[in-house]
Amino acid sequence: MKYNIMTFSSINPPSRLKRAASKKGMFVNIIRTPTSLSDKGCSYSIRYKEIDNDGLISLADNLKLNYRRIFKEQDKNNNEYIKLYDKLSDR
Amino acid sequence: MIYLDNAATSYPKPSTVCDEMLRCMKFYCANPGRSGHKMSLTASEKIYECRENLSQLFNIANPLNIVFTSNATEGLNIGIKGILKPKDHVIISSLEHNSVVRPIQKLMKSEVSCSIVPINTNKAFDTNNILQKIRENTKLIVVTHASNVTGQILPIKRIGKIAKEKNIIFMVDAAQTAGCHHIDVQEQNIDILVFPGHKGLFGPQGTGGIYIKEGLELDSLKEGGTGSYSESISQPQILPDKMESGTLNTPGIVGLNEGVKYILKNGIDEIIKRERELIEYFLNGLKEINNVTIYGNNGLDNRTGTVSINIGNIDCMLVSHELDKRYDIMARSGLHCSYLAHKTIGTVNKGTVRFSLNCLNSYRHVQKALLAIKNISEGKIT
Repeated sequence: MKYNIMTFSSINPPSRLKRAASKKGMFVNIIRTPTSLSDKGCSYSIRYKEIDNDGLISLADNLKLNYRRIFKEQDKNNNEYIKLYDKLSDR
Repeated sequence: MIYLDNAATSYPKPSTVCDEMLRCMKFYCANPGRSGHKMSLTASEKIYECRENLSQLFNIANPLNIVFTSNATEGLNIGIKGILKPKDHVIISSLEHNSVVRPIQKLMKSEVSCSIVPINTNKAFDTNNILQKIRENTKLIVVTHASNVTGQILPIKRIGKIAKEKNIIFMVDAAQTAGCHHIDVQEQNIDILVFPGHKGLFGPQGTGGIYIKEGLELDSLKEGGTGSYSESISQPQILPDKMESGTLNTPGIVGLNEGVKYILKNGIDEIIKRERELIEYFLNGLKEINNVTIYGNNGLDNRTGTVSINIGNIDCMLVSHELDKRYDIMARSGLHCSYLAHKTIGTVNKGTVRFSLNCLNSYRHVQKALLAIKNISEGKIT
């Protein structure tokens, strides 16, 4: 199974997204953002199945939840992630 | 024991409130929004669930616009001090609690001005009284939804409409109504709603909150750790983080969540109906007792379960002492932290005995209280 990670600055938006996603049948986990993916601060992310990517982006946008970046998980053991989206550069 | 002091804090709480608080303390009372382990995440998710349930109750579009506080007073301070700046003008009613009056009094030392709209407790509210007080620099209207002394409910929908038309921020102190009367921030044009957790919402003491409308900019009262944007030395500007520095009261908020769930499950209409039946019975009984003065509106419309009385010239403190000692009835006497409201009803010099019922009281409680009041009025004080 392949997973993506959507990063946030705070625990609150992912908490909202998780509950909203579960009502639409999408299962997500809240995790602390891996240091290599964060801005060195304490932040939270959701980790979810790659197949739910569009649905979760759409849901986050509808709820106006300010996510920072989205990564594709390649090899967690070697800290390998592919950046799919970066709010700072893409918007 | 008969508890009739629900305007101060509600008792008893639904058992689910106590059960979940205990479960939290035993199993998941870690720091919410700080760590990534399952205890911390469970705490965070329970806190978020409470925001969502409160949003459902008050028809708030975005649960993240709810900030948890330690009580309504803190919420009122956040709202009042976060908005008003030197040269600004604020309008309040003459039924306000000291938690509204005192922060404004402090700001008046910094060139904030205030107008008080007189409320006639025996007549219908006249919105012209508000219109007449509006000035060019009026930035905020703050009113209590209901007096904590007389139980009178103010027409917040009509006041909210005026505020919206005049482009003035409208703030409601729902200390006496949250959880026991209809509140809809969208329909009533409420920009800022402040509520305690420990009264009508059946949460524990040490809980409360403030809803801040999307896009409304308030200064924060305190700054510090939020578990977010830790790479920055500046306070985050997003809600609720901006206003929620420091560790939240997790066991309190999970208890509050259960209180809100109890209200949502039973329905606000059912709660109002129950409270109304009891207050009707109480008021009818009071009217039959000699020497009892009921303050404010003694009808059933536009009121909460709170009634203030005096019995002849008997000192209100002696009455409440007698009620407690001899009849095991808990009521509150004095000025109820509401000098302005007592000034309005003319009881500043003597105070009143306040009985505040809620939906968990029974006819038996009311009967016992009426009998005790009758005995005291007949001079049977020990």
